[in-house]
Amino acid sequence: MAVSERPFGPPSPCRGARQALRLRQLVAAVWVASWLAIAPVLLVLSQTAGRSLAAVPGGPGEVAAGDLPLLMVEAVRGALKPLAIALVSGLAAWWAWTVLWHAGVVRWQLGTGAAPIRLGALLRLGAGRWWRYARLSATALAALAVAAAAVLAPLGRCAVGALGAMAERRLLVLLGIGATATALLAIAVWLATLRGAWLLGLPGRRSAVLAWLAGLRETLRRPLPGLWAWLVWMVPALLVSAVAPLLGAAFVGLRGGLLLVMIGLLASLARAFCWVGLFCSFAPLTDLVGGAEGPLEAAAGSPQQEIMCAEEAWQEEDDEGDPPAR
Amino acid sequence: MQRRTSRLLAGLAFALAVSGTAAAADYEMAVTLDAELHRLQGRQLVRWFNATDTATGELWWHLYLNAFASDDSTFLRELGPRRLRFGGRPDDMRWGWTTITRMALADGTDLLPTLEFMRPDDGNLEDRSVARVRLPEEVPPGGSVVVEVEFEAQLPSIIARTGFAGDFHLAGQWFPKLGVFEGAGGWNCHQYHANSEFFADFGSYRVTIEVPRGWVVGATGVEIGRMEPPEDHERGLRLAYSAERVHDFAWVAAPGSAMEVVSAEFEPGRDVPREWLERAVRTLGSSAASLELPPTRLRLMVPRSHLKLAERHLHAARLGLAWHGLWYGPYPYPQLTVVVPPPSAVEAGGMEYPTFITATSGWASPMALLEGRSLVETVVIHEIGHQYFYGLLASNEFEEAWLDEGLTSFAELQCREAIAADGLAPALRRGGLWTRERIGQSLVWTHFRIDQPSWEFPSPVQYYSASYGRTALSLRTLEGLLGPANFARAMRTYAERYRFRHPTGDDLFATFSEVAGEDLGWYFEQAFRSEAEVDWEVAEVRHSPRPGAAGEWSIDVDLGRHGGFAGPVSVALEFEDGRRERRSWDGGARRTTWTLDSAQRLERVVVDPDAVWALETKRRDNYWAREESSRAARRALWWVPEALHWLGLVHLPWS
Repeated sequence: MAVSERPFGPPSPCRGARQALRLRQLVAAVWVASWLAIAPVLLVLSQTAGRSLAAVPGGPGEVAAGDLPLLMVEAVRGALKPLAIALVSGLAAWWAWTVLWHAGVVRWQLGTGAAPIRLGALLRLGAGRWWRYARLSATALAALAVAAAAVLAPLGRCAVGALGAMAERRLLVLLGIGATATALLAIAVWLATLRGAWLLGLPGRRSAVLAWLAGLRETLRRPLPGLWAWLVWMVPALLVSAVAPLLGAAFVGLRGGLLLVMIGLLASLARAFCWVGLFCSFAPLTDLVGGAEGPLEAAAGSPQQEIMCAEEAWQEEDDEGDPPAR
Repeated sequence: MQRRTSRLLAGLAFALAVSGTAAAADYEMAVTLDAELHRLQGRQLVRWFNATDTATGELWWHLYLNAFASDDSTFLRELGPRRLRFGGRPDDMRWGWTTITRMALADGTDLLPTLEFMRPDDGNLEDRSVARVRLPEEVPPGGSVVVEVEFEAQLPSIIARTGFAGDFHLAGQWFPKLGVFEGAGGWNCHQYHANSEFFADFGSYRVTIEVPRGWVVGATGVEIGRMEPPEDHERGLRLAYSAERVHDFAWVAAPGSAMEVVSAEFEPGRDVPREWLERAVRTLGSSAASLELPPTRLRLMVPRSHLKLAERHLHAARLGLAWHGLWYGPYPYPQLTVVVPPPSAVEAGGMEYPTFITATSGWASPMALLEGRSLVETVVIHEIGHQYFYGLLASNEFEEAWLDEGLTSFAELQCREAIAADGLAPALRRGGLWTRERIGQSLVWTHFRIDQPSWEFPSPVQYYSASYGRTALSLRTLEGLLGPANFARAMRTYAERYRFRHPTGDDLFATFSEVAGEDLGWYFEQAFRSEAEVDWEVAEVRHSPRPGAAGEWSIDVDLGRHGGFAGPVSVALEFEDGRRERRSWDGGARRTTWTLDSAQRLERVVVDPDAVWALETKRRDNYWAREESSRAARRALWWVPEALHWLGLVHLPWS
């Protein structure tokens, strides 16, 4: 099934927002999952800290200066191993979950034309393609590592040379270049992965590597629309993430209080919406079922025909999971 | 030229012989830097005065640069294979060494045939950092001897406070330097160890330094002469320096195209914060007039690329001079030179020599990871502290490193806390430094004695922990026990009494006991000369109805100490009606029980509620509450969910 990648069109934050609103259950699930992923760490910490601080007065100024952080260190020291396990497993679970819903959303949108779907069905779709999207993620990680090494290694060599030559100005420039290059690389890889995820959903695509490379090509060919969409979602996501820490840092009395907890919960909900919106911003221009011009339609006839083709293709090649549910 | 130099040296020898200075070791030196080879050709006249009541027929010399002559030196063996102080050693590491080519008495008697390398600490035959020569006649008590020395010194690639990096040269420990003769105890002249610094007699230094034309130089003392040769002349720029009552001489040289010299002033009327003066007057019980400080010239050498940091370095230097001057007495020298090494010379940063310190450019140092932006100011303040606890109070850094590093760390933390509290430097606005110090100590899991020779610490972690942080916390604890005023007066007395002398730990302890008016031996022995740990606990609190007294409670409060460190501690009792009571426990026994009769039950018990015992890092069992609560845990953990969510961002780019 040869399907053109061009009709995808530029990423659109508006489209992403519309889809995120339609996928309210998924947004809620991402939100809950973000808390479940950190729950093991919170559990271990609250148990150990709870034991250490159970007899400590809780009001501001009631504890000797410096005792709270010292008691925290004492608590953490006693639970380093479970904390490390909880942290690593939480991060791994969060990654696996992200891969799962990415795969599900792509398959849902490309396979069913974004027809209404329940969360369970969406996740079943994702589970069928989980391994393929995990490979995409591994490809992105490898690419990030290779690119960072390729850029930073020569910069590092130049920096060592500059150190030896006592050329601080050159060294500062090199450090600036290194930091900027690393940030740009991370963003480029991110955008390529987002595009690659959608391309990997096309019926003809099985290779995660080729899909990621195609995503990279598309990103490099037209970087600004992708960057714009990324900024539109990332800036608010980071801003809402900063609200609770800033308030807690500024107002000691708020720490541990209900208000800060509520702000944290709302911020994480907003962040979940941003993640889903960001991902969906890179989806095809229009729905296939809706009858408008869509990416597959342009290449292979009517939308309904294309869906049939896509479904058939999935059933034929499906060695990794179930066909999409309608 | 050779003959002219000989005449000059002979003249200097005579001048020294008749000068009658009371200093123990005077040095006249002339040194030329070969910038291509990073090598020094030096001549020196050393006049040593035997200030003890014991005659000696030997002179012991430090040849510090030989510590970098091979991997088999004691210093590099102790440092570990292929290491520097801060990180790994470069592949093209150049070795350093000192060779004495001539050593003779003023009458021409050649001492070189008697030269013998000594290894008093570890017997390492490959170590040549200490040498001894035998004199034809003993130097009697009150007598003196003048020795002429010619030497060649190769600076190593920058390592541990000396060497070169590119065109930047820090000449530290670059000349043959006498040990300290302690009379019946013989010569105190230790090998150079990875965990040790230096020890030398006070004296006067006259040094002529020749460097390539167009270079800039910073050095101990003050510049007293400068000779710029004509363009076609083969010689370089010659600079003469003089320093009185110091015990070392270091200098730095670099091309003027790379380093800028900035001149400034510490003007007490302008630079001493009024609130600091008022606090010192109040605490020390002195008049403002008696705390008056003299002005000091500041000479900053900074890489041109770091010129924007110059004002921060100078501001920190002014605050450092003000703080240390107010609390430990005036800085007695006319000038302080501050050198900011280039990033390629991180190993040159953060070092003290008399009237001369090296700072840091901040971001290039691994320490920057810990201290962040404040490292620029922190290092300057710390090294100015060393102008007192090392420079003026020249303790033996080999044997009692804590006396200089620990006291300096204490002064630095106090100074930085004051700067943060008074908002005097934007980069130092964060307080809580003592808490950070306590947390740092809590992460060092082993127990060790502070007062031991630096090379006997089993690991650098223990050396640094003991000599810096733990000593500072021990003093902080003592301050809490004695009260700020008593403590400040004792420190001031120690700093004034032992100025230009070689104080020991015993001198410090005795001064404190004298000023406090009580024998504090119990504290010093435990804090500095034992491995005892401070660890109090509220073991148990029991309530039982009092027989025959309705509504009355008999309360048993069991207090204990897990650690071996005994001393008085305050205990706070809070009753359920909100009434609070403070009691004191002498802490002598391992365990004690207080029995109280009260109509109210105890709500809470806290041992050491003000955290006076800063040395204590296990505080969990210091608290007891009748009803336990999760409120404190919630307050302590408020930031954790947000931090974890931020951490979750790391895999978004690739998933």
